[in-house]
Amino acid sequence: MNVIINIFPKKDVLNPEAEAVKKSLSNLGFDNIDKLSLGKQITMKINEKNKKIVQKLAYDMCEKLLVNSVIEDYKITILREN
Amino acid sequence: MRTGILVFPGSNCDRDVMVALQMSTKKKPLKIWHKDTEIPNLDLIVIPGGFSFGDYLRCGCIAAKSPIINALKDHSSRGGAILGICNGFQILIETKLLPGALLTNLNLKFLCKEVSLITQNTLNNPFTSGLKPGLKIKLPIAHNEGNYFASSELLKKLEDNGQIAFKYPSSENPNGSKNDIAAVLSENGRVLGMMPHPERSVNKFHGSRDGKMFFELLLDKLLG
Repeated sequence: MNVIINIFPKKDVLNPEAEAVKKSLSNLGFDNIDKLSLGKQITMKINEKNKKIVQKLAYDMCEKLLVNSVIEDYKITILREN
Repeated sequence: MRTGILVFPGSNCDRDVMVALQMSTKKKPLKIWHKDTEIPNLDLIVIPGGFSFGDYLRCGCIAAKSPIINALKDHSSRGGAILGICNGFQILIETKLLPGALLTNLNLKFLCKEVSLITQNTLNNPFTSGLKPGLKIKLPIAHNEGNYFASSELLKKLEDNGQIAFKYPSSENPNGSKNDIAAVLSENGRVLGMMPHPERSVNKFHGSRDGKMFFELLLDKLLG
């Protein structure tokens, strides 16, 4: 199954990269942006067909390595295989 | 006095730390490779600076999952002293031996310069107990992710427990660290993480020699 993990800085954590991108967009005339968040996306294909097992594996990966829960939140999306 | 230095792919301050420790202990420190699984009984383990595993994913996070880390945690649970410098501090944060997080510098710049540090009033620890609270020292920094972050509850706990070892003067905070924090101690005072590099300040060609003083006081305390 294909898995997408989106990782974003927590709301109360300062994200200077996002501020810099927002400012640059504003310089290009895109000045009506209210909130801009900059994170990471990790995609993978897990050789497992049971959705519950895939969900658990992805969760464990996030908790053990992929995410620092002090500063980041994440969302796991599992895609149906075509 | 037996000291050791952990080395990861991408560590680049291990030799400087070796020179600094050897200068003070007159003994060659043990180099410990990240794939090792055992650490002999040592008085002090230093995790040096650098770019372990290319800083991939988050600084220090891949090093924090290396085979050697279980032995490092055992050393810590025996009350062994651990000093993490720069990337070593980031690794200690990712191993959860120290609290908080280190974010990208506020101005998005890699900072490489000498900074002032104010010694704080701390809980008893071997690293800074030899320095008078309020004493200002000078050490170099060289980092891109040294912006210390902690929740307001954790910051209060760190301040109340005396777990903050060094602060930047508030008018000279270089990286946006919360409460101007430059170095943090563990709850038992046996683990110190610091962004500044004492090993780059040990001989007259370095300018400041405050790093030499720092190592000598630390080793004095460890010898008891």
